[in-house]
Amino acid sequence: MSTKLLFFFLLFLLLLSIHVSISFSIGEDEAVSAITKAEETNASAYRALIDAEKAGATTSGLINRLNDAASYLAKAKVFYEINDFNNASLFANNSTEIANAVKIEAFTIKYQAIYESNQCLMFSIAESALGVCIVFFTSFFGWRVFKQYYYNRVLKLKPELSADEA
Amino acid sequence: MKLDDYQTVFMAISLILMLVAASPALSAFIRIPKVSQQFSEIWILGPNRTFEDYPFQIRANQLYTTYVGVGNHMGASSYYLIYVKFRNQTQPLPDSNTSTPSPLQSIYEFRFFLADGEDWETTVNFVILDAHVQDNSVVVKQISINDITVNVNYTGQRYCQMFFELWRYDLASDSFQYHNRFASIWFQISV
Repeated sequence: MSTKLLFFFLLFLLLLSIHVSISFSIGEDEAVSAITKAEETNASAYRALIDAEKAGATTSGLINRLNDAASYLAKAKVFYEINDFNNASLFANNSTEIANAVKIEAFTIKYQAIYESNQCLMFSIAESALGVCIVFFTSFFGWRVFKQYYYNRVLKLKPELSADEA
Repeated sequence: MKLDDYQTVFMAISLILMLVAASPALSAFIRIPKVSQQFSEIWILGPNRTFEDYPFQIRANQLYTTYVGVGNHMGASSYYLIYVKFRNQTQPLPDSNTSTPSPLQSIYEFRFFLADGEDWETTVNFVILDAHVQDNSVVVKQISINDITVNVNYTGQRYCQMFFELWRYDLASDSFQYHNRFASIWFQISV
């Protein structure tokens, strides 16, 4: 009786291990799909990073994180080439996750940079307009004062007769 | 000096001062384009991280270390890809004249992002595995690079070359394009 029980128990363990390995092993298609997704996400994160950079945002922190994503993707591709689809899929999914987070952050800092740049532009325009007005009015009134001073000085001049006219 | 002359001087000085006052706003609209050559560079360093002591006589099952580096001077952040390839003396290298990469299959790759003006460097640890001599040719079946064993199926003379092709992501075509840069290192395999 106990031998039969042991046999069924071992058979159960064997079937369970086969089931688990089938459930958790990843096929080539799944690995390809994960790698393709990681490639697309890395590329779109790069595009978002360039946009943020053009908007004047500081992207050094994002680049460091994107490097992790890129490195995972490279490893995924190498694992795929040696038919290790489990690792290929694992690394590709990690890469996608990081690249997605970076992409979202790149969008956020892009709009933040645009907002800050607009604020800065408005301030510069206001500053310049004020400066131009001050220069204009100072020059205008300065000129009037100077002109008055000039006329007064001319009027105070006494005519002198030369010897011929005398 | 007549009053008209004074007026001219006054107006000229006023205009100069107005331009100076308007410069913060003007600088936001007038952009002077940067005139600089855009390029990337790639290099290989020896085990001491210098341009010397490169491994040359390499034995099977022995670990060798080199470093590969890239410098970005493209004026913006770049997304790079390096393909590591292995060739014998008869197999093709990338063609610099036509900017075409080598048609050989890559055995390993590195991917990274690099800000403008920055450098990137990484270790390349490799071990020649499963190498033997067959009909006066060296046959290498596998190489381990950075602890990942890859198949190479190399057959050729004892002299072989490992080279690193630099590719860059092109936003216009939405794909990696060969960047017309490669660096290589020669080996003499001792089995």
